[in-house]
Amino acid sequence: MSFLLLIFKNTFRNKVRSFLAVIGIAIGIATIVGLGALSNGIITSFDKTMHVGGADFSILSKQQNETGINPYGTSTFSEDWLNKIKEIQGVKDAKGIYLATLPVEGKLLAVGGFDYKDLKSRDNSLIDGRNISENANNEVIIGKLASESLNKGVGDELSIGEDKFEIVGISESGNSNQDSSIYTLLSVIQKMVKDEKSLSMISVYVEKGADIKGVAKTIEDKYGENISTVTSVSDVKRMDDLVNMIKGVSLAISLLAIIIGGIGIINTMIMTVFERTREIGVLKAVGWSRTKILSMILGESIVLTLFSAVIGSIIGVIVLETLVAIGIMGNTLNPVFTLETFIQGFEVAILVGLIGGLYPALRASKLTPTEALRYE
Amino acid sequence: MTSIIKISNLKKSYENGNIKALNGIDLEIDEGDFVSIIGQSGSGKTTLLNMIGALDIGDEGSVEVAGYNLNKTKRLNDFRSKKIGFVFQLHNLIPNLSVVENVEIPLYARKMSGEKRKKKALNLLDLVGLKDKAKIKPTRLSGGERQRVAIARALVNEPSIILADEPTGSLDSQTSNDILKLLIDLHEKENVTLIIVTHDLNISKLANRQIEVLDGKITNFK
Repeated sequence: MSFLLLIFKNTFRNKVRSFLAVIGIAIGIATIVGLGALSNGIITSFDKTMHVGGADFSILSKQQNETGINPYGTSTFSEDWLNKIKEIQGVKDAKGIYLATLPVEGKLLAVGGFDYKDLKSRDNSLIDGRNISENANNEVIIGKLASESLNKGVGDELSIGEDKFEIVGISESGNSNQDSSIYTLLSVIQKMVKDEKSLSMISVYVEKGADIKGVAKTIEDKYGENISTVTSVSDVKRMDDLVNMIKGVSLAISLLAIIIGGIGIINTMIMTVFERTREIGVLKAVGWSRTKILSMILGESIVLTLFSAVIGSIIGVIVLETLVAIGIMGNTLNPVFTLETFIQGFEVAILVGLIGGLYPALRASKLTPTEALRYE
Repeated sequence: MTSIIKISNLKKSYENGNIKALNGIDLEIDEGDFVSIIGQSGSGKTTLLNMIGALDIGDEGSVEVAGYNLNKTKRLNDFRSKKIGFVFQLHNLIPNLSVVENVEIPLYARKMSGEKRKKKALNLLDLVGLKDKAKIKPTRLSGGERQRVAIARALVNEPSIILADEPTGSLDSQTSNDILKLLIDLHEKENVTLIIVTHDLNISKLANRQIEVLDGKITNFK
């Protein structure tokens, strides 16, 4: 039997107590994993939107408009910017997009306006119906998830605000954000929200071989007072704030998990040391060093918390996936589990194990053999 | 015969000197000897045994055991691991480990492969007649069998000295006789110095030499 196996066997000697300690810490770890996955989901979804249609980066207005209809909390800007961007060296193409959060059949959904060519290039994402006709002013394509949540299909009528549209196609991209949105022609949405000749976003495509960051920097240097280039979520204040808020909550929960879990582990391990005082005396009598006893108790504490991390990660995944499956999370927010999310959970678990196990382990290692052997 | 234990003017008190457990002990024990320490409860016999096994350190005097000066050495755990095998009145086996795993326990204090550890433990279990019960938990053994396992555990380190503190104190007379016979056989076969603490005169008489302790002093050594 290896020393590690001995530690493992000792950890689960009192199964009920170990189980309760594991559950206590596992809930904290599950929350950390869950919030981490949600924050990843927001970043991934945003990233896909910013690179919609294969764009290398996007451009938003520099001006914030937190109360507006733009889901990213920025103001719209003139269509004239499209030509200015196209003139920048290294830019192959630039496409204007209008994004708005609008009441669709009583639900607030993202509605995107694209130019005809842009919509046409997305034919391959259509899973039912056809694309919008050129110059059609009452046609929309809806994402698969929006179609399911609204219970609408091709040929049905769709109310956006006070306007009526015909659903001509259903699209699926695999991105929950995009699949929960409604698409129409740029001019149609501009007219609908009475903001003609304006854009909320420009998708930029650079020349083959051109330096994407270099092109973005040229634009920033030239027009940085009015517009900003977006390559990641941290470039957009509203999204960055949201992600930071989730990360902040995750950090607070991590700290709470460390404190509460640490106290739980201290309690469990102190009980263990008390119960096994005579045994520790015997171990000292047969020649075990203080370091060996300290490693054994600390090892038991870490095994307990690592086991909690495994259980907590499983609970986190199951709970979040269940919430998504039953629709509580809404259609737009899909958790993304990455290795980093789980690593964070395991790091917290090891920290809890070390902090919680240290005092009981020191206490056990400092017991004198006679004192321990006399313990009743 | 060379002395394996040399104790000179050993004193030990507890509770700020109010309880004098040992009050000037002078003692020499030869290598391979079988010695009993007898005395009433509170006479200081267990304290003396603990001093020989380095479970406790005296306030005054000197204790030299198997070449280690126990007052000066900082390697007390090393000494206990290499030179001493303890048998307690209560077997103190670990309930969630199997019999063989319990016997292996002292070997974790040394650098040794798991395979070698197990082989040594099984050899010792064979010696005490419990090889067939190696894989079961100690809770399924009788009192006498548990004490046999404790003896195997005490011997697994190949110690120079076995210190047994009332090893038959919680056993019936037949089992006590079996355990004593086993300890004496092992002492003879392995040439290990055996020191037994007891308050039973009949057990004490089995030893080659008897030490009588009263109020922390040796009153008789024959």
